[in-house]
Amino acid sequence: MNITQNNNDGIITIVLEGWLDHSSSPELGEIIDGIDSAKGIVLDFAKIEYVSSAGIRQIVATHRKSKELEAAFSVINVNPEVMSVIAITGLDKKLKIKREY
Amino acid sequence: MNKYRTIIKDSLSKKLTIKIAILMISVFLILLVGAFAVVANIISEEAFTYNKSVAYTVCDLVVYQAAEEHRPVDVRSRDNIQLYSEYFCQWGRIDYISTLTVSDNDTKVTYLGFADKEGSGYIEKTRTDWLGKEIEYSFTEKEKEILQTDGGIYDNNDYSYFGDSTSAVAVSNDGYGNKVVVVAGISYKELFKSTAERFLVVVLILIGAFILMTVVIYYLIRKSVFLPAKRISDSMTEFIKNGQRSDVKLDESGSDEFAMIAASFNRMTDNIDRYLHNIKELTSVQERQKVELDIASKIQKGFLAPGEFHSGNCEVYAMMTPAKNVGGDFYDYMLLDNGRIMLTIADVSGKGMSASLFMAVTLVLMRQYARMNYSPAEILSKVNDILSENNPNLLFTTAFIGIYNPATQEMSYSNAGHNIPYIIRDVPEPLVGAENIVLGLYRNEHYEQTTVKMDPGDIIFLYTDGATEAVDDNRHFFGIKRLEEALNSFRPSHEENLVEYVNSSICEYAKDAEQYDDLTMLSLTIKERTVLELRPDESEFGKIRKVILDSKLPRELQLSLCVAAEEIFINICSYAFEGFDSSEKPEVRFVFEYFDRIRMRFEDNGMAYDPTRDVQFDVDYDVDSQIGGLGKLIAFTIADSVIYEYTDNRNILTITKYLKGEINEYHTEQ
Repeated sequence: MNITQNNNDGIITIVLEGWLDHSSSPELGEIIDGIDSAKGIVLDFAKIEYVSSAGIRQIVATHRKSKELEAAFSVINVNPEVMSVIAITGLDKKLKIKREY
Repeated sequence: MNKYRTIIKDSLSKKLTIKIAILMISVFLILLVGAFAVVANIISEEAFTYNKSVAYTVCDLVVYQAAEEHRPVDVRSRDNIQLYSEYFCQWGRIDYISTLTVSDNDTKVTYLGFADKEGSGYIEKTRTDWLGKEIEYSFTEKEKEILQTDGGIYDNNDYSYFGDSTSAVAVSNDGYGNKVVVVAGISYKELFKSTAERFLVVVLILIGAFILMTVVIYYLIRKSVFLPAKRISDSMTEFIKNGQRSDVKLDESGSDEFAMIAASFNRMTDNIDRYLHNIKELTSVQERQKVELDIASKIQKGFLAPGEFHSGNCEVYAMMTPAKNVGGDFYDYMLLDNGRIMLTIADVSGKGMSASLFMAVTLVLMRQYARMNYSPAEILSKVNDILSENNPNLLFTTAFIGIYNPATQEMSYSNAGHNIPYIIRDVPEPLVGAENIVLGLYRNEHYEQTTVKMDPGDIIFLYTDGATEAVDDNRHFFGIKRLEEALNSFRPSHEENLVEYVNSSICEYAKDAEQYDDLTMLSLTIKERTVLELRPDESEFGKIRKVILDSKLPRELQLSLCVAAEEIFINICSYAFEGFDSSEKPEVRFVFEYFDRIRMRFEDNGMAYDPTRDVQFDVDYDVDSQIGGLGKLIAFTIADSVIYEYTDNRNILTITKYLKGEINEYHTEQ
């Protein structure tokens, strides 16, 4: 799991790479916990191949954090396989999640 | 029915009567014409004779009278001539008499007198014909000839019934050189008038008699032909309607055709009754035999192991379709110790009951020796000795026995004259070797045996000649080539196993053609199978992931399987051993196998818990408090089937994913 973070004028973009599963998702959790202020939080899933329920929980946790900070939140560049797992939970209807183009 | 009867009445009595009547009238008319001709001839002959005698008498009297008076016959004889002529015309049947003399060397003709029914006179050279028309009389050529003669009586008649009259001419000499000629004649009109009248009366009487006869004939025919025919016809109708003879038999008395028909009919109905009875009996016998055969067929099918069997990474599929109720083919398989599996296929010579009895014996013997842990060659050898010991009908069996040992991943086998099986790796290859003589003919035969290595993904296919010798409508065999094509084109799928696939190929080929031989097939599939013994620790998931990612499955499928496996395994790690206080070591076993479907099995010795209950998740609700729920939801949605069981203090959860053309069909496209 490779995580990079960009802060562009308060818009924090977190680019993830690899598998977001039970072993790697705590890593993302720590990064999210470390955010103090933001205008927006973007999770870039372009290089995410795999998401399990542990990863989905981190998406939800990030969403909560953005609400706390009154920041905008979106997940972008989700591939069809990952999207299908997210769709099982119904989160795709609740959050702003964009497919990859 | 009435119409039917009317038709019969018309066609028999009336037709016959009318025909007879026409025939009789024709005969009658011919006879009538003939009779009329004969009678007319007789009358003519009589009239002519009469004419001659009258002509002669008158002539003689005239000559005699003149001789008495010593003078020639001349005008002085007129009174005499008138007297005689009138007499014969008035009182006799003569119609006219004409008298003349020929003198001066036959050159002068003097008419002396003429008389007919109306009177007499001296009208010379004229007379009336019988139609009453006045004509000038002139001598015919024949009359001229007669006048030339010296004397005698001559016909003056050409026998024509339709001429004026018939007459006779008498010529005599008066002794003075004069010829006296008397012509006496009868008119045909008069002659035939009375005859015709009499004939008419006779004809009318006869016609009346014929009408009477026709009526009589009609009733006679009706009584002797139509009524008996109607009785027979009614009986037949009755017989047809009831399906059996009415109790009243037809009257067989008499010796005419109807009596014969009646007798034949009675015999026929008796026979039909008897046949019907026999057919009923035969049918019930056949029915009983059929039931017995059905029972035999059920017993035989009962001998056979089920058509599907799983053990470890082995899958067996089999089928047997007998050509008749019972067949001589069989397949068999059996789980031996240490997970070994015995496979058998056999074909007894012949078909039907005898073959099926022999089949039952062979099957039981093979099972018995297999249980005693004999090798395939030993089983065949032992069974052969027993079968050939007492086999007067020289029935024999071809057979193949293989025993697969999962520990060595080898199958040892021996073939007793049976069709060479196939091993399907990348392509189907004949499983040659260890080929021996058939069972049941010679004792103390030695049976060879060999082994073949079987890797995961390999399939053994056993069959009987019913497969290759299945025929189509043109009676062409399905054949080895088509069988190999079918085996080659088979792709594992959960919808159809290999045996079903080959069977549907054969059925498609044979269509409606009759099956001549028993058709038996069996397949053994060695599946990919991996077993992991794990600690209930999240870090152990990497091993599971490796197994899944090392499989030859498509990447997307591997990822979905990983998601499902992760959710289940993490759940087990998190909850199954909470407060676990058993002397047993906590352990989780993961079994991964795939061939036509993917099966992941999770076994743990933790607390009994059925995860298939309460699979609900509400994302609006607290995500964290539903930590297990979310994972289960994802895992169970990915799976095609989820089965939970609790046996031997173990939770066993089996997740199955079918291999389909579209493996990511669970994706819900947005």
